Amino acid sequence: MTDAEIISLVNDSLVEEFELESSTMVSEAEIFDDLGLDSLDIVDMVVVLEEALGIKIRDDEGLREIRTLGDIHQFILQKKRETEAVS
Amino acid sequence: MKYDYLVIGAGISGLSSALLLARFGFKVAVVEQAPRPAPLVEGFVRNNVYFETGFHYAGGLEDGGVLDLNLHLLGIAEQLQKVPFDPKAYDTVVQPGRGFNFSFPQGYAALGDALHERFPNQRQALSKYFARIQQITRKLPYYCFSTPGESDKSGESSSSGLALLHEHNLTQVLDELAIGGELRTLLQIHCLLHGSLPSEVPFAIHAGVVDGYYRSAHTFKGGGRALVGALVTVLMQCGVDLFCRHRVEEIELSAAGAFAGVCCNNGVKLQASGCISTLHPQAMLKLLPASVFRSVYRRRLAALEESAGAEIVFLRCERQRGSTPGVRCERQRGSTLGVDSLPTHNFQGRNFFFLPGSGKAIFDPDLPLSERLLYLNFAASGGSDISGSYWEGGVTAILPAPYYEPGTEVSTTLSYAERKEQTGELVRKRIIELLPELGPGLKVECVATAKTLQRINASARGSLYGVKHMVGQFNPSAKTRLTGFFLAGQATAAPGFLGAITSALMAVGGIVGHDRVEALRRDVI
Ligand SMILES: Cc1cc2nc3c(=O)[nH]c(=O)nc-3n(C[C@H](O)[C@H](O)[C@H](O)COP(=O)(O)OP(=O)(O)OC[C@H]3O[C@@H](n4cnc5c(N)ncnc54)[C@H](O)[C@@H]3O)c2cc1C
Repeated sequence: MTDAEIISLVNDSLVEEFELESSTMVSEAEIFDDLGLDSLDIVDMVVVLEEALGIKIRDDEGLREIRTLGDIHQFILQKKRETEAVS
Repeated sequence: MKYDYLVIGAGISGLSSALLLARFGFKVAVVEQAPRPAPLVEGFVRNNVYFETGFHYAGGLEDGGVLDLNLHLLGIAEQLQKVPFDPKAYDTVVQPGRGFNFSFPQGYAALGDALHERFPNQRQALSKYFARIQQITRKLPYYCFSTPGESDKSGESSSSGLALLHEHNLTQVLDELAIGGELRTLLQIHCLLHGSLPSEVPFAIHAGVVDGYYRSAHTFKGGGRALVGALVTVLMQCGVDLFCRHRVEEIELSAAGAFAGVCCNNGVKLQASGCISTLHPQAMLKLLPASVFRSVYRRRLAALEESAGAEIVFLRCERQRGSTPGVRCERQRGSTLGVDSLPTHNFQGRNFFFLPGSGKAIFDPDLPLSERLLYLNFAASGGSDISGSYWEGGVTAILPAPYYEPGTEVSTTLSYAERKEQTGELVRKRIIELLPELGPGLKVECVATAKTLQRINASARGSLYGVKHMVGQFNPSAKTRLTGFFLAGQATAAPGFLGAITSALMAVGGIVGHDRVEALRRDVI
């Protein structure tokens, strides 16, 4: 998968599972303020992304630093690379 | 009457939650569907024999131990009399075919010595294993009293403990330390106490369960029933209302969409500004309109897997006619009444784990009853009710069992009752073969199946401890999206007496602020 494909898969999964508007899915979007998610959604987001991308997310620190949708993309791309490096 | 908080479910989690909320000055009511509080742990008495159901022994009850301090925190320590298990052999693991036999002595030092002696080559690995248990328990929320857990207690920021809980399972830790063979079996055996397999259970959860037992093993005089009695007595003193025979059927919301109250099956409505539900998360979902939670959250809870299923056989020892009559014995523990001794008395304060034959998976629920893991517990004699009548202690046998799959009843020639009877008989014979001292006086009182557990635990498939704690499975945290509505119970923190209390601390901390709960804990020490 290319980075662009991964990003669109992340976006599609979030749009579908959290009933978001596709038009709001820009990298600068703040996940709490603009997308309307809250801290209680983080675990569900982890579950959704793990399933969609076949990765394991066990990184509290990394998650805590996420502010924008772009941060999610970078976080996931990083995880995806780590996973591939291992396998 | 409007309450500050309602607690749904009067199990250990619910009663502890209510006590803590009352401690913070709230007006609280507990709502329970059963006729009496804590039906899971209060045991039952038949023909003057007391049978334990959901409380056989507990770890960490030594003075200053984690559970002991929690009893002080709840204000029930004075009401209870601790009864230590056998200091040299509280749990004995036996593999009959191979003559393998090991008894757990109480305390890390004694256990370490006994294991070092038996497995001299694994000395270093074992020390590292114990160190890792103690290290990781220090990070568990509301575990250590001296150092507050490092992880996020509430799950509010909700990346809470991903690394702590979902990094390693027990098998991985044992592999890493190259612990194999019989030692590995011994270190895995207590998985029965949380109902997750070694390859599933988060190492942190396993550690949080065994750490206490490695320090000490106790029960209470009067067993689980005395524990419930103590909780209820103190609850009443704190002015908490307890509504039994009130099954919550619906949760009502305010116009603003916050928690407002509950409707019960008997038509009673109770109002409050907030609530702690201690129900099985899937049972909780059914009480709320679907729109309250995101569908992704609902699906997560609906998909949660269950802990192990089990069959439980309750047995009693009858005096044999013509056997050495009237031997008055010096009783080791329990009542001061002189009573004729029974073979079971020699086993009180000891549990047995009889393993399947070698090469068989320890917790395999599909093995025939004659081979399956068999756990035996002997309730202490000498409990009594208010009338002061004396109870003998019954025997509980627990075996892992396949789940009860609703709607997939296999039609056999035997009725449900006949199958239960057959199970009871097979297990009774097996016990007599394994412990011949118990002799022919051992009789089956009754049998509980996965179907029984389904009812008791509101678990769809009849599990021992409700939802399983498993790496990669994200159980719900205390805080929910519904304003004023919090979760506690064995699904959230961990199963067992300690897990239930911990879940209450996490929920109440979410309500009043974790600093205030920590302050309460500091006062205890
Ligand atoms: C066979 C067995 C042996 C065990 N042995 C031990 C042991 O030796 N040591 C140990 O520490 N732990 C042991 N446990 C585990 C321990 O008993 C449980 O983990 C603990 O009691 C769970 O408490 P809880 O309050 O979370 O759940 P529960 O006790 O299940 O509380 C939930 C309550 O909610 C009520 N309820 C359900 N639906 C509704 C509704 N709609 N409205 C109102 N009320 C409702 C139920 O009746 C129940 O009382 C054992 C468990 C089992 C099954």
